[in-house]
Amino acid sequence: MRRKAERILQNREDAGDVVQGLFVDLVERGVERVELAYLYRAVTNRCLNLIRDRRNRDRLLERQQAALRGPARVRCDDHVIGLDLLCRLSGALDEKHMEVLVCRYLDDMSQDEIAELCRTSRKTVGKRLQRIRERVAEIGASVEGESGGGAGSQGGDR
Amino acid sequence: MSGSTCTGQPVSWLALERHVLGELDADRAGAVQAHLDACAACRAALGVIESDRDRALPPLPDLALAAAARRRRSRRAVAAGAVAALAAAAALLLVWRDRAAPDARLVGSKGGDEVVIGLVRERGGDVALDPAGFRPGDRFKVLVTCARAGAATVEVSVRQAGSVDHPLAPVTIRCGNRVPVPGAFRLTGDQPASICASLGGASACRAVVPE
Repeated sequence: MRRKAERILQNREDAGDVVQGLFVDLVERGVERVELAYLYRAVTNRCLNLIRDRRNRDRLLERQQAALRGPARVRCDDHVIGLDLLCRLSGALDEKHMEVLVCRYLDDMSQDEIAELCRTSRKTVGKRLQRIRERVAEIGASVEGESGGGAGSQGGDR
Repeated sequence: MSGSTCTGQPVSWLALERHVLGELDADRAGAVQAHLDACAACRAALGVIESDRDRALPPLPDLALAAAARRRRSRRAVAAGAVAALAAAAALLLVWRDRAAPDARLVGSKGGDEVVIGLVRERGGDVALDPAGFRPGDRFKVLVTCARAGAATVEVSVRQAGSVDHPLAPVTIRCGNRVPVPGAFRLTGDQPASICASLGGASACRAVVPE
């Protein structure tokens, strides 16, 4: 769980807080057994809640350690989804799309795995991924426009 | 980060974690292993997991305390009418404490929005819940208990030696019992300190003294 939170937030302190907070809640609720898939979704949602709050974003970006993102095996077209792009996308996509985004581009899941984890159909996952790709392309284009090209992906490894 | 390319559909991080834990069934484990044998990118991801397995999280708070918190919640649900009396008693206690020891500030107080502050202190790997003391360099986290519905913004401040510091950026949390405020900070100096959490119009403080 900690590794997953670090992949999303790219800093150890906030990732540790997210995971500690989750387990403290589970302990306080008396939950003794919980599936890994549940924990996975819970960590995703807690990380996204942090990112969604604009006041946290600067702090997260300031503390960012890009290496914690891990190997980028799945890209959204040409873009590696890292913290910066995740922050930008959180203002353009709703919670369900953001969860699918994390599953696909940070957890490297197949559409079938995402459908099973999120308890939805593969078709729905496909539709959400299509919308995600559109948003990433829009944001990538606007960032490249701002910087004169070359931005929009994180880590620089295309 | 590495940008190596997977030879096909990558083995997801979840599947890799399960593979390392031995949780996959034989067929799936065989398929994962076959892919790993052929794919340097996924082997690199597996390497990240294997090289990181010994790094543990700090220990969780005492389970007995968590159980006590559950019991408190349960009592609150049954005897909601007692809350007002407890709040009044807490207010009296605060007045008494302020008169008796002005610098001790508030300890686990409740305001209009029912805010209670808790502390976690980490010192050389040892974790203490709601400590009364500190040594310079101790690391602190703040836990907030609040009842407000929906999201709420928490600000943490530290009063020490006549000055007020805000070691953490204001952050939005969802209220609950002992919700960790993201981030941590260190206390220094040799003067008593009061660590406060403010939420809306309410705040609660906890005093710690040098050891």
